Amino acid sequence: MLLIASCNKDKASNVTGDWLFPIAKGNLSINSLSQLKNLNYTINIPAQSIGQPVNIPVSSPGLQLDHVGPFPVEITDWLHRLDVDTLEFSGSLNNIFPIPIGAGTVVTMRTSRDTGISNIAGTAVVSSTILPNQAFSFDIQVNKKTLGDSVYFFLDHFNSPAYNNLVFATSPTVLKIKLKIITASYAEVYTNKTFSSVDTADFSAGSTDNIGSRTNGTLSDTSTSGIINVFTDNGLPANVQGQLYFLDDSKTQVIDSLFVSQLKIGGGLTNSAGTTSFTNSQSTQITVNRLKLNHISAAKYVVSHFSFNTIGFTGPYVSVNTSAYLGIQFTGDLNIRINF
Amino acid sequence: MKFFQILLLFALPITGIAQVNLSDIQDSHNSMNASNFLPTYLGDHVNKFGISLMNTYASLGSSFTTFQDAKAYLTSDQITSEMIGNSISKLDRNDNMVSASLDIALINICFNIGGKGKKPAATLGFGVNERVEVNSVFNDNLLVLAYQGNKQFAGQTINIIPRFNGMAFTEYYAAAATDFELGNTGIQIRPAVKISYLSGQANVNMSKDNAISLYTEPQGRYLDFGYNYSINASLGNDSLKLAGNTFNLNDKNYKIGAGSGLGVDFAVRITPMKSLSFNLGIMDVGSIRFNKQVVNMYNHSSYHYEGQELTFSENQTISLDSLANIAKPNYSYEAYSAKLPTRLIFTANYGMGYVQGKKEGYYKHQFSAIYLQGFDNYLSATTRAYVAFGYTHSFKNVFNAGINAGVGGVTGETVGLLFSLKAGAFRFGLNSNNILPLIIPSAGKGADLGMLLALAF
Repeated sequence: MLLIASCNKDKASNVTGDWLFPIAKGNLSINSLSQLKNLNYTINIPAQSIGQPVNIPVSSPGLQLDHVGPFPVEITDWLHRLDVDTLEFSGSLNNIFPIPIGAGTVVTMRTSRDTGISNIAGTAVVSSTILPNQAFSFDIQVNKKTLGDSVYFFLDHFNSPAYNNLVFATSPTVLKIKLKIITASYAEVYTNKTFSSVDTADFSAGSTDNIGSRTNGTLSDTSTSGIINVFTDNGLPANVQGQLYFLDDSKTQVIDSLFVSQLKIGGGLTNSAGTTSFTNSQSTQITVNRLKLNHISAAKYVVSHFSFNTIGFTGPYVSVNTSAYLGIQFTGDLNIRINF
Repeated sequence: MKFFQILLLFALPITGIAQVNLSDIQDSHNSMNASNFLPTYLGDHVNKFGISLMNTYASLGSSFTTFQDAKAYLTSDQITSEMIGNSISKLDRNDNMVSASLDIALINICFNIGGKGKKPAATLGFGVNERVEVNSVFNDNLLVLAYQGNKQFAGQTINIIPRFNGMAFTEYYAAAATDFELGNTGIQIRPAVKISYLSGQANVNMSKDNAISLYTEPQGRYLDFGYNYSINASLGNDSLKLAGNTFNLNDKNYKIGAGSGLGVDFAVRITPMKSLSFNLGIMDVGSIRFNKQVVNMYNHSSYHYEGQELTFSENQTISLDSLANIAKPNYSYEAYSAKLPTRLIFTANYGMGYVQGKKEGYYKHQFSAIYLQGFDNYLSATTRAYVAFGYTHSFKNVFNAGINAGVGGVTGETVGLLFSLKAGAFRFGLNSNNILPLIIPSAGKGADLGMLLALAF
């Protein structure tokens, strides 16, 4: 009879049913944190750091400096330690000095202030002379390093040819660094800190035919009411607040958000190795109406915003390894009217 | 053969029933059509030679939908949820059937040969029949699921795949029957056989162990799909083509078609006395091997679905369409065999008021009974036994009129009528096993109609 009904396009028909189904599921771990995917630093290297005064003429038979620096940067204000499996280390050295920076100069990232070899986390060798007002760019991959809360940049083996009566300005040479943690195996996070992770994804709730009608659009579904259940299993040693924002195709206009207020998820516990020792499981129900579902259906992008805090956790820091994660699953318990 | 392919495709959603036609058996004018499913009737009430042309039998029906329901769907301005719910409420939990058939006896010829006096030594028959049969068997899960959603099945595993079968083929047959007396008892025995070369034209074949199961976790956190199905299809070209409003028989050729096979009907008649006879037969034993334009669709796997995977990383594409893609089948293109809808038939005929005419005798009153038993719910066969009784009154062996009633089979209760006219060598008639929808639309779940057009000398 449904077949007969569906074949008769001139007669509006519908059936209404209660559907229970999983919508989406994912895990958040230290490797999901967007903040660690886009760490940008700008380091000013003044003329004084290469032993040259500013605003007066100077001459030199040439510069040969073993180390220029260190130039320390704090990775984040909440990381105490980060064991990196793979790190993308990229950047540029923009030469503002009136002298060339010779080939063989090395941009070096160290895990501590001392100028040894064992603490070198990554290096980029200048392959050809960087003339004044020119830049040198690099992009290298670093594997298996342990970082503290800060890293230290140097210009090793800095060299420059002889010059006469040149004036160094106060404007520094600029070293721009970008760190992208591809994968990390372990992290220590200071307690009583807050950090966040924000991602934007393309989104499609599915066309009417792709939902399964296969009727070239003659069958449409409209949900009149229902519940979206959010099941969370938090094995991370952090309390979490989350929200999903649905954006239109301009990517700037928020159509709706999933939660009326933020979803609050209690933290789990980990041991000193960073492995989950307690998972905080909870479920939350979101009542949705047809308007919200229409908004979700119309969305082209979804922004996930998760705010983590370690407030109230004991010790100077908490540990987390890759086995610890926050699992989130969305399921639908929807009353759906299918129109023929 | 576009006509039959189209019919096959369009007949799938039509409610239908396919039965052996009792009206043929109870009408002495119609033995040529009766012999199509019980070859013991071959040559009955024919002197030397008989021929029939384009005799057509069509049947439609279901086990759950009345014609009144169907009419409501077709004529109402709006098909309401209540109407659909009412129909679904009539479904059997496990076993619902719809089927349709179209038999066109293009040409049937029989000869009575030899023998002493008026009694022939044997009867031979030849003919060509076009047959199209489709059916579907399903539990109520799929429709209930579509109508009310899966929440009601939380914590349960349900099978949601319906079973479809359809076959169109041409039957080129030769048949033979003979009589002998069992000792000196006076009991006549008439064995008969019909052997057919079958030219398959189109087929959709699903075995009864096909399954698509669905388990809904009580909180909806996952769905488990189990796939175990094989669907074979062969939709080829054939010689019989629909050209305008006429059938073109000129292209008929044994070599073309989507497959070929052999079929056999066995039967025996026992006549303990002249007025009483019993027929026992097995029809449609055999199969067709389809080897042209074959598609095998299969999936023997399981799928655990917990939702669209989220990575919470930049540049991910989240598409909630993914559930629609997990049931896609695998394809191969291997030849396969499709069996015929084998059935066991038992009939009985008892005549009263014998009148000896100039050329042949006849009974004024003819009582008939049929028991039909399929071995599978497949095409025109059903495991639900069908029992029917009929009475035919013969007016001077010129005009026969009869009535029959039955129970069982796909549709349950049936009531039928027959009329036939014998004018010299010409025989005309119309009959039915089931006109219940015309009498009680709210009870009739099926209908059929057969025709008689023959010459007999």
